[in-house]
Amino acid sequence: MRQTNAPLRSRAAEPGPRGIAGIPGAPALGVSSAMVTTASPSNLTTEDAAPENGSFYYDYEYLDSVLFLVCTKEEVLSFARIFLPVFYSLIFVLGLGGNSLLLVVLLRYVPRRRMAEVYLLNLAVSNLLFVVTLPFWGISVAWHWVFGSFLCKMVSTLYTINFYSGIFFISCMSLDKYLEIVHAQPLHRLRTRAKSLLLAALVWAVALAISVPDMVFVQVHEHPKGVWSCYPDFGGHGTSWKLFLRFQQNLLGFLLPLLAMIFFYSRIGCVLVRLQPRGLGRALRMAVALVVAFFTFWFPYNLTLFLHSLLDLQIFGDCQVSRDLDYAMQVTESLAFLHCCFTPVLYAFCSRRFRQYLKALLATVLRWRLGPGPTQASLSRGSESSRLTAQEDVTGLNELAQGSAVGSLKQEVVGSH
Amino acid sequence: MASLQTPLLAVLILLSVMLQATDAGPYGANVEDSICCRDFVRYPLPPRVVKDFYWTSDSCRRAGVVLQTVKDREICANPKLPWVKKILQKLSP
Repeated sequence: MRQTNAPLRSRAAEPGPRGIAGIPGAPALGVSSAMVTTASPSNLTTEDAAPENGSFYYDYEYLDSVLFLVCTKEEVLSFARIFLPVFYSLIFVLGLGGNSLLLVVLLRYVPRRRMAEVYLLNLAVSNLLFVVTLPFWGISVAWHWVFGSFLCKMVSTLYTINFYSGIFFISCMSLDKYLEIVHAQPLHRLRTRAKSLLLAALVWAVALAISVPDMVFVQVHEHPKGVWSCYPDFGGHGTSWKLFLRFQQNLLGFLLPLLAMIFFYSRIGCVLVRLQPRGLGRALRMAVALVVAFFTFWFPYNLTLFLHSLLDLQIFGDCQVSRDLDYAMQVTESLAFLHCCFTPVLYAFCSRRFRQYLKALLATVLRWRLGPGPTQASLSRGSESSRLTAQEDVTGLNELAQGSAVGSLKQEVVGSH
Repeated sequence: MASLQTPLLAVLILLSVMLQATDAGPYGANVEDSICCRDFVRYPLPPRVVKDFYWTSDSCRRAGVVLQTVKDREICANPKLPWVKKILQKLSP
């Protein structure tokens, strides 16, 4: 009998009702009636085999063939019950702290009309909503889904929406830089606040569309009695759905954004190298760092996901490979989640202007601590002066554009097109 | 620029509509999902040695039922076979 503290959330839809298996007190047939078996399979059908002789014979030794045995995952589950809650808590704390700080700075000190920060702001919101779901999954792994039916749908939907929107907003930021530097045209402005807002709204809409099945299929299941879990029920088409979902995640969550970023930043790099503006090295390093960071966070996870799909298709692997991939999945997925702690740091804190905002915030907090003083004046002066500079610099790419290079850069770009 | 933005967005929307599906929560938190049967036992087991059973994940390639023997071995069986059905019937309340 499976212990109830180690629930196996079996997902069979057909044939037969769920949740039968683990019911405490299910009849333990045959325990008392020891049976003698030989290696001959012909004996197996004889239910009335001699019930005496050595108790160690009552099972079927010839079944040692590993093929028939289910691939049990007790060690993987024990590992998950420790590792995931600890790691999720860490990401929750780091992500909540970092993104709240980012949000406060953006809302308080960045002038409203700046558009580059639209995506960063949305990214911060997306990351915040994402890390909020992590404690739920942590508790769900360590214990079981204790939050009920509504939260199951809600948290799953939130998870999926923000899983994708975070990645999409990072891609949007590369698109934004691309438009700013490569397609800079003084007369016909492609980057307007309205367009940024529209694109951000679109990202949310697409992410919402991707999460629709969560709202539909995800529900709580009780198995065994008293142990709840929260997962989607696709009826009898589990395998195809699972493969579909994983390839979708590989494609939408990794491959397309990565290709977009590589395309946008390499075009930016080409233009910068041609124009040789001030601060070129720093800008190029920044662009490379953003792409490399995205790749580092997401590649191991997507590789594991892909190998899992191959395993499910039975292209390779055995039970041990399956277990190893389960470990790999837990570790690489958790590492990928770290992106919502580090991406804001990378994007925001590398910007000189953002550091100024942050200093201003810290100064306010410190002076407010020491006693309410006239800090507001100096702060508004600071943001006033930054408002005067013509270019937005969120990624640090554009710090080069703040100087006199801007004019000539734009002229030349326009001329070259 | 609309010439580049529009196709990009169109592709994104198209893909998301085409592939409208998702899984709940992190994969790492769903280890049970990958507990599957790779093969089924070829010979019928006497019902008395099976004390319990559970279904493997719906997302397994082979829909299987795991028979737990009195010796705590977990043996994969094909739920479509008559002898398996009989055992399941017997164990179901």
